[in-house]
Amino acid sequence: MPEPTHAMNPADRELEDALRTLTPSEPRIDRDALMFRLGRESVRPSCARWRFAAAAMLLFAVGSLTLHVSAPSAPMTTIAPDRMAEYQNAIEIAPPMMNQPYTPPTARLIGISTRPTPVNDYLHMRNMVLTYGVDVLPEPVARGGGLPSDDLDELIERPAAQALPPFWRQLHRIMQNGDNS
Amino acid sequence: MNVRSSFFTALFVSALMLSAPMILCAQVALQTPDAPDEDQPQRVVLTVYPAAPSKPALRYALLHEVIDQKPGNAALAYERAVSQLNGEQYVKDTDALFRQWSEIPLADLPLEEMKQALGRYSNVMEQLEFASLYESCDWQTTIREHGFHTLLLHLSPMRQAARLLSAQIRYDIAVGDFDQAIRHLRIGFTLAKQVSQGQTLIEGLVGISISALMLERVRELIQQPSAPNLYWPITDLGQPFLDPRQSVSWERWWLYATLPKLKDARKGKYSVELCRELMVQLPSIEGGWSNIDQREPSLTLQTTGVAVALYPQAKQYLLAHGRTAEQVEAMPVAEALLTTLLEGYETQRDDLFKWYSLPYWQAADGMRRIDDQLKQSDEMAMDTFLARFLLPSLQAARSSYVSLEQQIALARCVEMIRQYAAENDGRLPASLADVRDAAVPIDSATGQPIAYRVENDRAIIEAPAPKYRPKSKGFVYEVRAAKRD
Repeated sequence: MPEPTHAMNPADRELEDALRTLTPSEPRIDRDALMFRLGRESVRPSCARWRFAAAAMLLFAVGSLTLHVSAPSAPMTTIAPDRMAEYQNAIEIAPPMMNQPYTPPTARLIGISTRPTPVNDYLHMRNMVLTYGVDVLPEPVARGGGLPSDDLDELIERPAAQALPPFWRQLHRIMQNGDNS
Repeated sequence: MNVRSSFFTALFVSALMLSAPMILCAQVALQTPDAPDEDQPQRVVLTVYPAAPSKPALRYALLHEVIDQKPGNAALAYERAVSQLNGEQYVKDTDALFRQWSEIPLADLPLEEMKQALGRYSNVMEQLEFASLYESCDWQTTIREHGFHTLLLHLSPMRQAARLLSAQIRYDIAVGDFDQAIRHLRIGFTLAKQVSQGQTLIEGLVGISISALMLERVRELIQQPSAPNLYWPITDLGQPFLDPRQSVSWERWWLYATLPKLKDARKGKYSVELCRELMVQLPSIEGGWSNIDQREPSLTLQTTGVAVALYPQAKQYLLAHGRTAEQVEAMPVAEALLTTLLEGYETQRDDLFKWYSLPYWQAADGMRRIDDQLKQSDEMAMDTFLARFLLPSLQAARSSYVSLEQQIALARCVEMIRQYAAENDGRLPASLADVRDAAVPIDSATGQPIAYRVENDRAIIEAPAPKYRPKSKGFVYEVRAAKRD
């Protein structure tokens, strides 16, 4: 038996559909910025700060999870229905999904993923060089062919991790292990 | 199990759980490298011998003379030269040896082993010199086309080349061949200058690093008993030696190079379609193109969610920045959001960059103020969001150039001391102003003459860290004047 429509007009239905499909907004945390901050703090080791950071991260993770679970009731009704139609159109003009791996925001938040991307790389490299000096730049990977590696990820990732300060390197290893697990 | 033992077990487990982060913290502390003391400037102790300025004054110039240069682009020739340095053996063995030799005192260098190792790369050295003689250097990076995707693959090989040069210069100095040392220094300083002429901040910083390496070699050279006085050649490097403006010119425009369609929005050419498309694309800057499929439906929905949440903030911003309520209401939501993001970004960006061209002592407060404002701003504030994420620490960048200038100024001061000693029976000058026919270098961190005093038969030359930087970024040179045998 079909569900009663409660005499909703098309605009209301459209709004209702849109709200149902909305997911919570992605936590505004940048993985690189977070790790950079941790790396910097590690220069002045402070157990209290470390514990505070751990507690804050735990709270944040719990908060994020809660937000995820409570997504359908998120207060997103302040926008007028005619404005909502613009977003509907924006969704429609977006091209279809490509067959590329997508890293969920939560996975990025906890560092599971990801090979560096060119976009992040310049910003990441620049900030690292400004903080730690040019020694964090990747060195050419030894190859028998005599030419630089054509595997950019390897060229950027592996030597950079070796050159990084210990705390950063440790985080890098954790990420690598997380990636493999 | 009784209550008491349960209590202690629980206590033990709690303590264990609590101690885990502490153990990790302690481990981190133990693994932290021997960083320089943040509270102390870098102390450099030098023993120098009297030496009058050379005649002609620029006989030992540290950059190529225009008469020796040739037209053309050096980048290709550099690439050709360093392509021979990437073999397995070189990277694993020779380059590692050169690093090792850079830390051994000159007197302890294994000269025969060095001679053989360097001899194997004499053709590379020739090609490096050949490249350095070209008048211009265009690395032809693809910033305009690729924005943040631009690859800077030439930098690491150039740093390898610098290490090779550094090892060669140390060898030259150790065997007393100062003409060769200066010839190779000339290649090194030219390489540093040409690398720094790239279009990115990272290239500028690598140029500084190579320059600093060459200045270390200069410090070693001028401590040799019969080394020529290099006051005028060092002065002739230029003030500043490296142009700090060039390497940040693109830092203002990365966003628009990465998302070229933003250029239309920036010119006020808004269309609803453009705004919608860019609002979908902008979050991808945060996540990276290859990690996040910007066309994946959930991302689009997330963007929509973010837009819904931020629209009231955008309206507030626009109303506070000159738009009437009617104009704001008439504006499509995507345009309102995009306008707020871009206007806010450009305002913050230019408020920071406008200080950069000034001397550091005039710019430091202004740059610091903007840095602080950005740090203290709400992470979800639209007008500062892009600036927080994309803008570099200009103060750190600018102070790196200042630090290089300070090192050049200090080397000039040492040569003034050698000149005075040569003309005054080995004595130290009471003041650098006492040295005739020379100008006291200016400390680029303060705009004042470099601080100098004599203590216990030693000259103390000081260049404190630039304002707002750790004290360890400053220098104290302690110079003793010895007499030749």
